[in-house]
Amino acid sequence: MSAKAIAREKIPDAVLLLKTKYRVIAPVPKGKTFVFKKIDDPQEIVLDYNTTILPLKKFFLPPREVLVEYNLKKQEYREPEIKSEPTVFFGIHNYELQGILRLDYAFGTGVKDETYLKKRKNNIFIGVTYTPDDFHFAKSVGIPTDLKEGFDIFLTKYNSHYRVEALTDKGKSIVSQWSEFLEECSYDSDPVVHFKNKLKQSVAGIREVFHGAYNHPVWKETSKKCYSCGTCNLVCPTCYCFDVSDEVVLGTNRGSRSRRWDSCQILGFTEVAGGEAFREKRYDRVRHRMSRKFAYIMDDRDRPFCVGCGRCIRQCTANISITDVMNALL
Amino acid sequence: MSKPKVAFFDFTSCEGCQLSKLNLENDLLDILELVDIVNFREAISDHGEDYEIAFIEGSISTPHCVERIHKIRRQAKIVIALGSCAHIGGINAIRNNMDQDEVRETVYGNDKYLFPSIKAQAVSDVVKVDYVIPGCPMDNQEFKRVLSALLTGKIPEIPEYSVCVECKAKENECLYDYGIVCMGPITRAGCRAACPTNGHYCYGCRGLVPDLNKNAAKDVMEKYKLSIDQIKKRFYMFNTNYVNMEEKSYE
Ligand code: SF4
Ligand code: SF4
Ligand code: SF4
Ligand code: SF4
Ligand code: SF4
Repeated sequence: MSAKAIAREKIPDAVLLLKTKYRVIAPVPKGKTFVFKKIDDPQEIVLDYNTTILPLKKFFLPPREVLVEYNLKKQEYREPEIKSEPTVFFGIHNYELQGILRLDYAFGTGVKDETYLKKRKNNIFIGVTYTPDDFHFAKSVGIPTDLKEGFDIFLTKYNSHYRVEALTDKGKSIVSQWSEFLEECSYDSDPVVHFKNKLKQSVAGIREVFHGAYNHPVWKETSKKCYSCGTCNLVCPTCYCFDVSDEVVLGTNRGSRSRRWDSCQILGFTEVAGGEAFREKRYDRVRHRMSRKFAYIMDDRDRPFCVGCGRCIRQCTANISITDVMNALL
Repeated sequence: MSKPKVAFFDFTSCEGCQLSKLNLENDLLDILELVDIVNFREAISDHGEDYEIAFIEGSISTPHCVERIHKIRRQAKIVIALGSCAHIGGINAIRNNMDQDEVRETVYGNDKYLFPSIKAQAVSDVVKVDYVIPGCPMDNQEFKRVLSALLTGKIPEIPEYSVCVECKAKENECLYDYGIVCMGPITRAGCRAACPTNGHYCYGCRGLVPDLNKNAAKDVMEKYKLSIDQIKKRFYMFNTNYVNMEEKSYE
């Protein structure tokens, strides 16, 4: 099959067709920035966006979710039903999906987290290329803009058109229904993309950098600027730490156990029963976050848990940059 | 099991937290089924009352307040500070940085000697406080959560992470993106980021996070073009008693 392309102005129609069968989630503007949202009107979709405030993880690991509901008197409990509505995630950048793949690894190996995994069923991903802003550094962590791993369909922008590549059977069946919106594609090379933000060294061997770096001055220097607000963790596509708490509705026997996003930058996070804190010092927490991303956990292919989305830099009000910190070590 | 007896006491405060409680009217009947409210106002005398849980509203700002709060503490099994004034001294504490004699003169004029006052303090500065319900005014939902925890024999937990955590969970745009300085990063959460969600910066009414990095916060505020004077005002609005802006310490 020769390559196909879709004109930008045909995209809303293509999405409208998807909407007859699927819930569609795509980036839309929010003030000066963007968010992923369920689409009602396909016209609101933006395909030229740098990144969203929160990553896609919010759909699979929501900021707060009930794990069990119970009745103390009847000694009964039940898990809320999780529906996995067939969903198309449209206009997704590749580092974003890489983030999901890291979460799949974290929640799917060892003790399986069904609350997360059930929501990962019936998902279709349609990717799109992007122009890196001052903060993206995905290429440095092994995610060049043409990495299409995990996508069912991938759209490569070229002027006012997108080349349409169907990469899976599900993707092919969608593309075949789009035939009326498609035209012959007149280009086949991928655009050359430059990243302004980068790591001095690529990820191969980056883990070793942490050997002997335990007392590096960069931890203390960075911690002087950091006020442990937790933003960098909350907005990170691969941060999955949560805190579990119980709550009984006043005057009833009904209660629930829920989890909410937590952050390893916050003092309370490291506190265990009895009030002892593992990482009382702020620089310990700063070092911990960086080590988590680049050394402590790797996926089955030895890839780090940072996907270079740049959110933690973009949204840190204290301007702390994970690439600056890493480059100080490299 | 008999219902626990609960009392509410007013110290130096506005009526904000009172009004907040009245807004609980939908739940008030439920609450009354669970506890006996033995007094709601100071009008009924403080001592000799039979109560186990004392909710304290307002800050301690006169010698008389000190006497009263000691009496209450002796009687109550559990003391809970309600609202910023009681939790951290709150708005009342702004005057702590001023000349106290001048303050009295401004308020009472020639009668200033009839009204002795001390620094406006949090209840916990004077007696042991078991739990707090922060906020100006206090948050009704949190009030219910704390009460529910107490009645089910659990330790009431209030967040110690920052307002940013709740703000991000709501996927709000950050006010700093608009050049607006917000106290959210260093303020204790629990209000569901009420102010930023409605487009206004956080004033810090729920108190500062436990491991405040004052200098980092100051640096950020300076970067966003707040003068030292403006920065001080932001900190002193609710948190006078917890920061000394003159002192330098890098943590
Ligand atoms: S977002 Fe910035 S200031 Fe906040 S915890 Fe992370 S590094 Fe520290
Ligand atoms: S650590 Fe920062 S750049 Fe890396 S994935 Fe997380 S938010 Fe993105
Ligand atoms: S905390 Fe605020 S609302 Fe409550 S009494 Fe004090 S000033 Fe009034
Ligand atoms: S608006 Fe305020 S509370 Fe919200 S993220 Fe920004 S600094 Fe934090
Ligand atoms: S956002 Fe800040 S000022 Fe507003 S209610 Fe919450 S803690 Fe108080």
